[in-house]
Amino acid sequence: MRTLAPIVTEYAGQVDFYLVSFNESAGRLESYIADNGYADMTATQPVGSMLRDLKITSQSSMIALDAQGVITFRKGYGGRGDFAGAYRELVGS
Amino acid sequence: MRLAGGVVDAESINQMMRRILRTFAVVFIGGMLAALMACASEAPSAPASAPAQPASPVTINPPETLAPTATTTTATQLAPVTTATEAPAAASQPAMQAPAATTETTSSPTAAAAPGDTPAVTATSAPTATAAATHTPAPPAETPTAVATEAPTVPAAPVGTNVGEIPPAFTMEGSDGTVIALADLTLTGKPAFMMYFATW
Repeated sequence: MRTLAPIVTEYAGQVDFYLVSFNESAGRLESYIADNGYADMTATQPVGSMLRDLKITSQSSMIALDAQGVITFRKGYGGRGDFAGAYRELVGS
Repeated sequence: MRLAGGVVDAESINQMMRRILRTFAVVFIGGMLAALMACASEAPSAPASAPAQPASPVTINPPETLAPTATTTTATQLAPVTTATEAPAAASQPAMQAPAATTETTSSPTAAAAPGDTPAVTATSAPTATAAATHTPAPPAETPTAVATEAPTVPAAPVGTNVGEIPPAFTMEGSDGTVIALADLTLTGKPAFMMYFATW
């Protein structure tokens, strides 16, 4: 999550950030957003089989979509990947 | 010398011969002058093909009557051909069509008009070529429109969960009860980032 902090701050207003609960309550998500000062982040709960359909099997997974809804980056927990670099490329394109 | 009416001497015969020769000379020279005058007056006005016609060019000419007819027929014949057939290759094709239109125009008025009206037909064919040249630039204006309508067609990405694919439709619910679907994310026109959060 620490890698997320500079991105959220840098691209606030240009990217829609969603914090999706893996197994947390909505209140826990809200407090996390408030504690880190992520003003433009939206706390959400998955509906139906969203996690299974997107093959989210571990917490701290990340998925980035471009403006057309195409997946441009995805990473699971502990998975390697230059998230910040990939995301800057996504937003700059 | 003695003739039927009396005695005629050589002197009087000589005088008669001179008169006759003078008369012939006058008549001959007068005729020649008249012929020359006639040739001089006819030569600039009428071509060799129509010598009998009077010198006035206005009466020969039906150009005013022929010219509009030929121009309108050519315009109506050309218009559908250029617009319908060649949309993309507009630069080269009009040059090919122009001579065809000219010959067509030349043949049709000749059949309709009198044989002596050749100059009028020539005058009509020239504006026809101009009309064809001015008419041809119109089709390229329509071509970019057709291309522009076809351009936005972009093949959609396949559905999947990997990079480069469109994820299957999903729904999530905000803290305030707002339902957010995948379609809503694309409507914003901005990239979206989803992080699946948990604490243990």
